[in-house]
Amino acid sequence: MTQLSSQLIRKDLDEATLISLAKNGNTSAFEKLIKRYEEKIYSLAYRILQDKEEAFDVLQDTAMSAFKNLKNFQSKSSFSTWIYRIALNFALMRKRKQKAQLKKAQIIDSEDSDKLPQFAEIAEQNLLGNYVDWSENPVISLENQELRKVLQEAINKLPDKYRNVIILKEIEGRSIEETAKILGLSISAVKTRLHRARLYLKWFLEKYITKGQMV
Amino acid sequence: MKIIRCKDIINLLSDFYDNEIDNEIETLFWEHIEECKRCLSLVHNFEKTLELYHSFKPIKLEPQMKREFHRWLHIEIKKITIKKYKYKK
Repeated sequence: MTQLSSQLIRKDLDEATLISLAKNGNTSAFEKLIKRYEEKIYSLAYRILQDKEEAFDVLQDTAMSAFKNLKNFQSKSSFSTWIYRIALNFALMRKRKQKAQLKKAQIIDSEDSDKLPQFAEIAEQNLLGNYVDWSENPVISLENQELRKVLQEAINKLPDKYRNVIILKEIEGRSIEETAKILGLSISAVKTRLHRARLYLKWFLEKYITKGQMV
Repeated sequence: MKIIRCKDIINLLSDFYDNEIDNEIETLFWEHIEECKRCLSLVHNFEKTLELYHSFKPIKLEPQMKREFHRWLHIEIKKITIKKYKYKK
């Protein structure tokens, strides 16, 4: 154990100090640092993978990768963005594996047969026929278990490029700027994807609401 | 004078929701939705959709998983540190 790693780490140490100590080999500082992000990493991974064990594996992979590569971390970007990026990459890798396995087992049916319409078609649909305001309907609430499932399913069905933006920005609460940095996109690209993803989600929800004759 | 059509409202929904719309366009936006019932419904439904997604409960690491992770992390990084130390020697 190095002299540094035997130091007692105060709970309230700021992030920059923890990073600096961890870079100098203080394992206790690294543990503290990861503990600050563990919930967020797990949550992000779970949102993408919808599986507790896989999300837990992503948390472990992320922690290990961060520990091994911390020396490469440049303080120019925030640690939060850096670690989110690592976690997202691991989660997406696993997601691809999940999809490949499902395809192999020919379990994917709805995803391929129920292709998403083009964005322009979705936008167009808002201009056609009778358009019902369902926003005040008391059934449309997250208390409604079925609706919650539909919402989750809608997110799962989004193409990756839209789903990642929705998860990071809308559900995990990252800013547009941070989402752009994590995904390696420009701010305007994130805004465009976000807008399209939001309209897709509204479309999914509307499809369910009108088919189920909830309104 | 600029005119906002229903199609423009669809394109502006996110900017409007995120408060990133400039004042002049915002005035036109409001004028349009006051007149156009369809677009007013569209704005309501759009906002409701986002409200539902925003109220998803946070995903929490279960206490047992958290303990397991802390134990695992402590052991694994110690192993790596010891290996590095031996290698340097």
